[in-house]
Amino acid sequence: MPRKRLLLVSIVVMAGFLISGCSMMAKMMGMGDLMGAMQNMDKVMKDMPAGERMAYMNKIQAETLRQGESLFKSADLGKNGQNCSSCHPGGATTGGEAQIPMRDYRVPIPTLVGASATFPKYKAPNDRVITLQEMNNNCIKMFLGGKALELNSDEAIALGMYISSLSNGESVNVQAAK
Amino acid sequence: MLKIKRIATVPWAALLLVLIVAGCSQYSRHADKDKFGERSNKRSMDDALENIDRMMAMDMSKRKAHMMKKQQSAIALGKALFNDASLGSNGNTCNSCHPGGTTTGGESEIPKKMGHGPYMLPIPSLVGASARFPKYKVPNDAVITLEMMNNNCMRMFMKGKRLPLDSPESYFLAQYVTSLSNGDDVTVGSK
Repeated sequence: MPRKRLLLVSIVVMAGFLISGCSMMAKMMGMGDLMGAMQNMDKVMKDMPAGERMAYMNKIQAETLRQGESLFKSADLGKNGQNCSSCHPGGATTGGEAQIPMRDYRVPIPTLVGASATFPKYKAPNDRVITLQEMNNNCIKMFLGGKALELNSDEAIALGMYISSLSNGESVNVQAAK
Repeated sequence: MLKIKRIATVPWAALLLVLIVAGCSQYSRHADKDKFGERSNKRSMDDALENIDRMMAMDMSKRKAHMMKKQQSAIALGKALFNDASLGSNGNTCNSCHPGGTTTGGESEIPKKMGHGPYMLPIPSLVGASARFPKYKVPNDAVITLEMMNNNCMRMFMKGKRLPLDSPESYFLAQYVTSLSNGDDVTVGSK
């Protein structure tokens, strides 16, 4: 009996090992999502009539932008009742300062118009160059008391798109290597 | 009987331990790469405050120099990655299709794979490209960021692996590619 049970346990463990090994391997080779990419290409480039493509893409972009704008105004990103537009009404600035939590430092609130055009850029809280999506997470964590958004989540991308759109018409100006 | 059982349990317990350790290390592998990005919120706030304290303790000119150094080294490292075939596995670099950040003027093939494709895509210049992101991209069938687009190219045209979005490589490369659009107007989502 114990021998039988042992066999059973060993089979289960080995199966688990195999499954996790395979999925890890597939992930490492980037297979899963390359296949997904091909399926998406088929859907839009092959199966969709050429005349509908542009409207379809524009629709998804418009929806993403709308989602970003509603996240910008949503207190759900944080825990202290604030939302992005509390400091950046309409994407601009209150003109005031925000206090770094647990410290006496106060930082001037910048307007977001033109801001995305300067990213990626160095930011002190990270002590490195960061992307716009990471800057949004900085604000969410420091000033909204919220949790960082996963960088590849729909929310992070939508919020990034909305904030980038506030810079439409501004010149890209990331620090050039001199 | 009891003895047999005990003997048999030891290797299984050891194997289980090894599996648990291996599993955990998978999850914590990137933990130190981005202190303010990935750790639990409390830990990461501590890191942020530590960084801010250190910066505030510097005088203004030293702080400026520190920032400039970090930014310029990021662009330089990004440029090196742009010319690095080790991002892929077929010998191509970003620069193979985008010499100096522009375009060869040709097309790039996504090879046939398990009944899908092939697709030929015109190679765009990267000058001005970053100014249009985030934007819709067909392979993702969604709006994506520039960093994700860089990953698309690596996987589709260089047979490489995607860079984790919070890895230094990802944002170094993004900063270099963005710098190619310096002076161009932001037009999010446009063609």
